[in-house]
Amino acid sequence: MRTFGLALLDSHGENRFARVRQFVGADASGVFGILPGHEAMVAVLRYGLARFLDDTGAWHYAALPGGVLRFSDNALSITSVRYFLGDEPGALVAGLAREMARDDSELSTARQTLAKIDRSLLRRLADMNSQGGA
Amino acid sequence: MRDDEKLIADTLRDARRLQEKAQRPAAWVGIMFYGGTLGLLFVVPIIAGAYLGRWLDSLVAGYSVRWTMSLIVLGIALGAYNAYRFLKGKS
Repeated sequence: MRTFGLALLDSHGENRFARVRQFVGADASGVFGILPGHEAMVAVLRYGLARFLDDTGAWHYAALPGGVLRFSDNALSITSVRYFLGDEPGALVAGLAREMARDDSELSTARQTLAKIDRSLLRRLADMNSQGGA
Repeated sequence: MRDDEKLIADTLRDARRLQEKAQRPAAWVGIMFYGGTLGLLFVVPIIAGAYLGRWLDSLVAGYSVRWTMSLIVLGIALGAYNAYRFLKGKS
């Protein structure tokens, strides 16, 4: 059975699948598929769902906010800001909303922490300034 | 629309499309093509076995159907295996 390697890369890390039989994604022109031995190609994926079939016959799904797909030397790599993997599209959508909410919460916490640091820094500078002036 | 809202909306749309596609009844052309392929995979080894067996039996002195019967049975087994692999690949 002919297969190819798949690497999914984003800002959180990477996932590699050594034996993929088929990939189905979509760009601005529509849905397309990639099979082993495909010609070298580059595509800009659109927002939405991409899927791939592994050598055990199981489909895996990835939700992507766009990304760059590159296929060469029988290896496929997809680089995206963020991707979410799942084995069932319905569950993936449900998980996506949860994950997004968590990311938002983490971002909000990080912003609050930064604001606190900022305020402390300013207070310290003001203290140093007043001590220096006295 | 924010980027994360767009991602959820577009992923939901694609998931629905996939689900609709899976639930859509198969077209007649598809059913005929599928059935035809399955039939050919099963029947061709049996017919090939029968012809080959008949030819081998004609080489044997006197009346014989031993090769014909043996190769037909072998053809049935091979055809069933072919059909099984085809069905397994499609599921």
